[in-house]
Amino acid sequence: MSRRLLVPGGPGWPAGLDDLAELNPSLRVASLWVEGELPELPELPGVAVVGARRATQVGREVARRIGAELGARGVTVVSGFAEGIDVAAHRGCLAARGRTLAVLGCGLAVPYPRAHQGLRTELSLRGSLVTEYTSWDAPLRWHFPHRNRIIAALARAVIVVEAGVSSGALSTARWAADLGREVLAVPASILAEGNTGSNRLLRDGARPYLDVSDLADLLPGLAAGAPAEFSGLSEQAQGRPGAAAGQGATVRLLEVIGAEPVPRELVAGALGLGARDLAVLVGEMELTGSIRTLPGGLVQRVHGRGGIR
Amino acid sequence: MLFLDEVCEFPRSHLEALRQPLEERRVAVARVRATVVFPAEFVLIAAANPCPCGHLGELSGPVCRCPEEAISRYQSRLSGPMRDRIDMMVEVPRLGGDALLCGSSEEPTALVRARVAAAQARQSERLTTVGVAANALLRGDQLLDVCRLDPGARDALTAAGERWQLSARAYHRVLRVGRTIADLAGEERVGRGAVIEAFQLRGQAP
Repeated sequence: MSRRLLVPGGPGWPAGLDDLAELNPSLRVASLWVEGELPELPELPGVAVVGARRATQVGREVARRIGAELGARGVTVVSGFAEGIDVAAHRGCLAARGRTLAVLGCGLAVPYPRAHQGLRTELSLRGSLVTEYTSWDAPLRWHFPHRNRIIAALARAVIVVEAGVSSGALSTARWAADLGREVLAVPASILAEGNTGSNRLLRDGARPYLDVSDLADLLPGLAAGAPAEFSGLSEQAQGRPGAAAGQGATVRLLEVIGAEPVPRELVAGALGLGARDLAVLVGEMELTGSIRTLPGGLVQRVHGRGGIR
Repeated sequence: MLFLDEVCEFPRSHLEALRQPLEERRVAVARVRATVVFPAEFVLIAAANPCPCGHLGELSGPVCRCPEEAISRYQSRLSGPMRDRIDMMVEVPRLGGDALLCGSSEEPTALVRARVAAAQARQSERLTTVGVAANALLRGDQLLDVCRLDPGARDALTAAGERWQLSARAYHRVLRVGRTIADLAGEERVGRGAVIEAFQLRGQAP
């Protein structure tokens, strides 16, 4: 595995990092270790996707989706390779054959987090990992908030997905604001405490992120570039008859189910179906691939061509 | 009837030991001098939480924040071959306090019992010629005869087999459940709906 050391002003040095030293000389990044291939690091229009480690299934799904949307359009997805939202964002981006960049809170030789070493290998092959720590530096607790300044500096914008009031993702958002990067947050239910931090960002003036068009003014060329054929996540959906082929109950079922997973009982109630009829309907639609079921008795739409499940 | 509560908390080796009796309805104990075979006909019922904290999939109340890896580790304590031998997996949502206090609007069990008895009667009448007592005991080669599949049901089986790469065992189990669903509904032939419902009950879709 080739590892390179980048130094300020040297070849490959991301210009965005110099904004940190300008903000405060003590924030300066002295050098950056890089593993994997990411040509022209300085030119990349990166967008950071960050959020809670202890994320919900919905949060992870949102992060995967954003990672894929950005990746499919050639936007580099920057994140922190932490459990939860970060990992989901990297995964989504890789699945859409996008480029993704992980900023670590430890040295490149440290296998952390241990559970995601498979993803780490993929990242070093198809994206890259960077860190200011030397090979065997351990993932110490205080490294992570410090590392967040690099995530913010390497990105044009930071999207916060599902952050609680004490989430580290909020520190990334603060760095981003200090550095003059755009801060976005994904609006989420006010009932779950895990969303309080990101929702407060919205109240404090962060831009809501609903889809990539919210980044259009920040990333010129984003809209112009044809939305890349999205093939990663919808492998299961390929080679099947159009999802809209059904009629009657099928169409109504699709209308009831939004993008977020819904409990079956709600669907049954909305359609006035008994458990058995619903099971048959859901089964038929699962067979054609237009919906899928998730743990907990939830059903979700699978979007067809050009969309993200 | 064997009921295992919190099945994911059992040591995996103990659970795997159930494979033979589940499939063959007997337990063979092999020792140096002899092999003794005991009958082991039972219905396995097992309950488990969806994840270590138990809140996965709930939309209100406490939210599951188990790491993905912990969830898959927890669920994999029930191995693939074991899952393959389980005919029906039903997710049971948590009941809110009001639902518990208001009493039940469900069908009374006496009614359900009458329906089950009628289905059993239909089953045993049909199965006298085959020589078994219940759909669950039908061998693979007897199934297609007994099931009398509609063409639509056949199509659904083929489509599902391709989509989810079903094992032969899974096919047979779906057919047995589908036959029973049709029996409960008083249908002579196994229709597409019964087969699809059997797949749903199996939790077949990945």
